[in-house]
Parts: sequence; C-alpha cells; structure tokens
Amino acid sequence: MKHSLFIFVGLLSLTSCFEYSPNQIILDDSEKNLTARNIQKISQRAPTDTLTVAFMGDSQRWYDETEDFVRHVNQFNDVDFVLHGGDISDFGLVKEFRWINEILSELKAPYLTVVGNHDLLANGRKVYTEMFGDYNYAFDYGDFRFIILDTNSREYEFNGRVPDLEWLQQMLDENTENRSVIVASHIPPWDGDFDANLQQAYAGILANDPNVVLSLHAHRHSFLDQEYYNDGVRYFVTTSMQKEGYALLKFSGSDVAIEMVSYDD
Amino acid sequence: MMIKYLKYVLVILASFIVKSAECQEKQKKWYIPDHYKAQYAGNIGFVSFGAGYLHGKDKLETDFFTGYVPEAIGGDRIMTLTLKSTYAPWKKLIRENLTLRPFSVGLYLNYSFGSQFDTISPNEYPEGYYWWATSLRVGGFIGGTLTLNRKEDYEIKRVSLYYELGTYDLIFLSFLQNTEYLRIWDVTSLALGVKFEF
Repeated sequence: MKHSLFIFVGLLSLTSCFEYSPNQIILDDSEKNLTARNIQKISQRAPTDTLTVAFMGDSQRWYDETEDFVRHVNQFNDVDFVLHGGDISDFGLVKEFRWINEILSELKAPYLTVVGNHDLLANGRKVYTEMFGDYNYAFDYGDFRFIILDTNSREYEFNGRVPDLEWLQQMLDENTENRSVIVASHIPPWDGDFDANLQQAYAGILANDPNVVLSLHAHRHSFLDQEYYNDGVRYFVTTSMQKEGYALLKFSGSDVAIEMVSYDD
Repeated sequence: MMIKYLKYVLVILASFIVKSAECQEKQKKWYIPDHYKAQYAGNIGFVSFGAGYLHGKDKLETDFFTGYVPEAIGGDRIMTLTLKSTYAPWKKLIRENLTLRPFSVGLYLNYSFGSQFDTISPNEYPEGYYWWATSLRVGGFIGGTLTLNRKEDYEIKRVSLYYELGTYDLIFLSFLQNTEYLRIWDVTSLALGVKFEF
C-alpha cells in the first residue's frame, strides 16, 4: 500500500517531465487570461498625479537579460506597471511564453503585453490568446487611456486589416472624457513589416486626435524618440532585452517624460 | 477522435503484422519492418506508433513514426511524422531471457502537419527573415532498453521497454544562451516506449 502510494506520487511528479509536442498548449490556470487579470491588479492601485510605466520589449530568447531587467526595474517603487512591447517569445512555443511569464511575475508591478510578430508563429497565436487574451485591447487608468494594437501586418500577409484602424478609431471615439491617450504596438508604422497602405492612415488618425500623447513601439531593437511625421505626435521605440535597455515613461496630464535606461553592467 | 485515430493505426499495424507473418513463412521481404514501436511523449506526439529496421551490426535502429496529440490533452490537435535513428553500442545478457542495452543515443526529425506551420518561408517574407522552419524540429536523446527474449517459436519473439531523455534544436539553443536562467532539465523531457519483434 505504502509502496503503491510512493509509485503514484513518483509517477505524478514525472508527468511534468513528459512533453507531447513543442507546439502543445498546456498551461496552468495561473498562466491564463493574464491581460484581464493584470489590468484588474493595476486598477486596484491608487493612481497618483504622475503615472510611471516601464516600457521594455523583444525578450525573445534572452532570458538571462530579462531577469536582469526585472532586478533593475524592481529598484523603483513608483512603477505603476510594466509594458512588454512584443516578441515575448522567439519561436512561438509555449515553453518560451511560460518562461517569460515566470520571469516577469517577479516584477513588483503588474505587467501587460503587446503581441509581436514572433508571438504569432507556429501555435503562438493560440498560446498568446489563451495566456494573455485579445491582440487588440484598451483600458483606462486614472487620467489615461491605453490602446494596445496588433500591427504585425506581415504575419497576416498584408491583408489590409492589420492593424485594425477602424477599431483604433472607435477606441479613440469612446474616449469622451478626453483622457490622454497612449497607443502601443509592436511594429512602428514606418517599418517594412507594417502594412505600407495603412501607414499614413495610422499616422493621420493619431494626428487628428488631440488627446493622443504618444505612439509606442518595439521590434527594431534600438531606441528612437522622434516626432516622426512632424504632425505633433511623438513616436517612441524601445530597445530589446538583448541590448539590455528599456525606458521609463512618466506621464502627468499631457506631459510625457521619457528616460532611456541601460542596465548593462 | 482519439479512439477513431487509434483504431486506424491499429488496423494498419495489424495488417503490417499479418503481412510480415505471411512473408516470414516464405522469405522475409526487405521492406518488411524488423520491429514495431509504440511511444508515449518525447515531443513527437502524446502517443506515436512506429515501424523500423535494425542494421549497422544490429546496433542501429531506424524508425518511422506517426504521432498524435489530442486537443483535450495538448491544447491543440497535432499530427506528426518522425524519422528517428537510435544507436545502442553495447548489450549485455543480464539473465537467461533479459538483455540490457544500458546506453543509446539518437537523433530525430519531426514534421508537424498544420497550416500554422511552415516548411519553406512564405512569399511575403524577405529571405532569411525567420531562419528556422516551424514545421520541422530536430531533436536528440539518450536512453536505454531492456529486452525480454521469448522463445523463437513465439509469435512475438522479443518485447523491449525503452526510455529516452531528449531535447530539441530551438529549446536547446535557448538553454545554451541562457545558462543563468535555464538548467538542462528545463529543456529535457522524458519518453517511454515499447518495441515488439516478430
């Protein structure tokens, strides 16, 4: 009896050693629906006059560097949340998403994600949806509205529907309280992986809404801070985990202060 | 779905076995497999069924597997094909009817069916945009086998149990580049299997 119990417990502990496919999608309950759960956590914080967001991106297969990022950003107590600019995984495999979630769960602040082109590979689409939720989502926090957008047009064969600009316009129209708006997506509009037919339309939508204060991106593995289209909209691109850098964004009213941080030692 | 699939596999397997028995009565045709395998896990399916050949002075086995992951277990229904080679250099008779191959090493190439997996980069990507094929995985493993030798006039002459500890290209590369965060067991998984020789 005792023996069979040992064998049973032994077999049970072994089940985690078995893998059926690199493309399987097996998640713990604590690894599902993270976008909604983390927005809930953020909304429970009391917004102060200044909103601080740590904006990082392109963790891909740089786990050691992502751990160093967590250590670095955990020095600060005023970070409201961390935003991952996409390319959470490199190969779209569930193992990668789980590792990054394990690492980012060590953050003192909740984290949210943007979907990147690498996250849409293999079964990555299903993994992202199950683990985080929708590719396009929006939420309000204090005096700010965040709109997260899938701009990985190449992954949809430039079908003209990604990014979904109608949805973007709708999210801006819903902002009747005139909160300051931050739009975040993985691929910046001038990049070749963004649908060239939608580039001007995207820039135009942002420029026509006076509430928009910033357009955030990743993907290019280097910093860029520029009013790219000279239309009053500031575009900021963060660097990658491989380059060991991220940005601290501080918002108060319509003022935006951006500090580029290097944690390379 | 799972049951239906298993049924097909068993019918195919059974027809192979009947065929091989028929042929053995005359003379064994070169293409009749030397053995059949069923495997649990190992990143080529929840279950996979294979047939293969023994060559290289009886030290090398080459097998062809078809594997299946049911959605209820793997979160997605995945079907795969695998070509696998296993080299076991040493064997020892540990009892009258038991042979141990304490060490084996092998490689496999696995193909996953599905429109979400690409073998050749689609047209909309510049050359070399993604450097790997999402449908193909190359894996390696070490393992061991214990064989029960039955009487030669039995239908099934030998039954073996084997295990494999394996990893695969993309995840092993991740390990090599992240020696602080990842440990070797983070990128290793276990497979168990059974082999029948007629």
